[in-house]
Amino acid sequence: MSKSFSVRHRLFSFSTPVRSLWSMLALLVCFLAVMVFSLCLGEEPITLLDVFRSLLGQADQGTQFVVETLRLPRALMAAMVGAALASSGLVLQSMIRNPLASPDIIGITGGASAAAVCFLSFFATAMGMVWLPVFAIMGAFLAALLIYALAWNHGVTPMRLVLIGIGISSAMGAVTTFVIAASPLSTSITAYIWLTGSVYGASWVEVNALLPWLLVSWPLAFYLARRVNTQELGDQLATGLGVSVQRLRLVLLFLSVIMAAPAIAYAGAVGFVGLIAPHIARRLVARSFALLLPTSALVGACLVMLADLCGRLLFQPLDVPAGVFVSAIGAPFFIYLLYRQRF
Amino acid sequence: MSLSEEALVDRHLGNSHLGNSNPLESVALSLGYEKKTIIQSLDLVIEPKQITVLVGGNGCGKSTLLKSFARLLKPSSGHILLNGADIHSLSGKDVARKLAILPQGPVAPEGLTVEQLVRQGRYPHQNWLQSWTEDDERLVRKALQDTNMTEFANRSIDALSGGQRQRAWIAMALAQNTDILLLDEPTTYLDLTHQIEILDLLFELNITQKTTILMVLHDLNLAARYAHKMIAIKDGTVFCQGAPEAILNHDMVKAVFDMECHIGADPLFGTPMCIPYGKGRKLDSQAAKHV
Repeated sequence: MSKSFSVRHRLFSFSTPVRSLWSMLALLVCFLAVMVFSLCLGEEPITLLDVFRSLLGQADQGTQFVVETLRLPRALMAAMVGAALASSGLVLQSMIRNPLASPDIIGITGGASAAAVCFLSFFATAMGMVWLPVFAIMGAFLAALLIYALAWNHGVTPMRLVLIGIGISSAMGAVTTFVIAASPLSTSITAYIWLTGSVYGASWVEVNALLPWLLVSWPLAFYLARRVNTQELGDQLATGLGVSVQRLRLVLLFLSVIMAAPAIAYAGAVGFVGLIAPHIARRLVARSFALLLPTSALVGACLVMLADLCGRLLFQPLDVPAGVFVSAIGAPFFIYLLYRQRF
Repeated sequence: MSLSEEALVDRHLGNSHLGNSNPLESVALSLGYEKKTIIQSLDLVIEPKQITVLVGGNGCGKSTLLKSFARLLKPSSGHILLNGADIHSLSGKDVARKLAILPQGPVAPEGLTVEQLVRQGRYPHQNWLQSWTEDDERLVRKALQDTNMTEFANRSIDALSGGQRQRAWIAMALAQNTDILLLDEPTTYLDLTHQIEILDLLFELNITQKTTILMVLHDLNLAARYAHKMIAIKDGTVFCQGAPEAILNHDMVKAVFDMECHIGADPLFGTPMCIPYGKGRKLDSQAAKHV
């Protein structure tokens, strides 16, 4: 049997492969490194020492402002958005037992986008921009509800869910495009940037708004981890092992929405992370949901932080939305991993 | 009052809880999908500590019946009793601690290793805090040993041959550590060597651990060799049941499979052997002697 790290106590016991723990540790180091880089680099580079000083509140006022008010919330926001979308993608891929699922493919992002674009065109001036996230989250929930209701046929099967999800996604895409085309140019530009996904100008307000969602959804996901593993063996086996598959499927869809929707609401329709991060995670750790969840989240966080860093640095003084670079960084890395695994 | 009527009355009075009740039985069971009825008011008893094999033609309802015995399918009327209790009144985990099912042609997620798969069999015995007790480790080790899969523990399921893969799934079911094991065509798609290997494994298991085994098999001759009891299903009802040597005859095969055959004796085991008629090359007895 493989080398495992096992813990046994009167109250609790678990076991996990040693190799996966090392991979996760390495990833955590990467994550911290990218985070520190994000704080150091920018229009005005700050030394490592000054970054640490300002984190402790001992730097001069200018540096303190750049690190604490501009870069730190932005980096945290990028990390949380990436982690949330990656986790949502992992939940969907596990539920559907298909590696081609993600919030942007099955229409959750599409629902949020359509709602956000409608809001920008029709309600933004009257209600104020603070309501945008509320609309986007509602859009995502409505899309998910619609997918589930339409897929229902004495219970839902993964295949029906994914196919109807793709249908809803294109329908929402049509709505989005139509509203943008029918809107005045200034609104269209705002909508377009939102659709690309950006953490530009993120502040502590957004960080504090997004965090509670994650503090609810992640523990719930961990709680369901063993059930999710079982469910991946197929409906009959999972039922035979004592899991109520239909109820689990509904909970997982809900979970994927409460993970993805707030992230999309505050950062826009960042694509690709939800699809690719779980794949990268699967190459790094053993196939167990409880290991894949933190790994996917860390991969997603690194990806979006790196993408935002590139967006800020490469075309100065232009601040390119992070969404652009997520695919630009993620895709080659993913292809490299697949290529390496041929041998 | 005949013996079986007496048993039936006992069962309805709930007396079966007291004595040594049958591990699994159906009472007036009807099954169907949508509007189509597949099984109609069936009473069937699965004997404890025996190997029972369901046989019958394609679409006769034997797989459906097996699924309902595993709580995968809700009866349209009637009951399935597991140790005397209605199986749908029990929780999924309760059932999973007493009965394991291996469906036909299961597919493992890509990259899952044998050991990870077998560990999943422990699910009904674990909870969120206790996810890897000494019992879990011991039983996973034992399941791997019993199925000769220890050396493949770290291999990915996709990288295994058909026979090894099926052994891995059986190991998972064994790790579940139940008294009852249900299998739906465990030998399908396997070559003859691996078919025998799987059936030997199950036979061995029945002897050493007294596991009650109920399975669907297509091969009548292998069924006759391994089964203590054979149940022939036809058009959603039991055509006949009993020891293979008692029920496997020309008329039964004709009725259940609509096929003419000759029943001989297995030269090695003495169990009945069904040789179908049909077309094919025929060697005259002179030529046959030279072979």
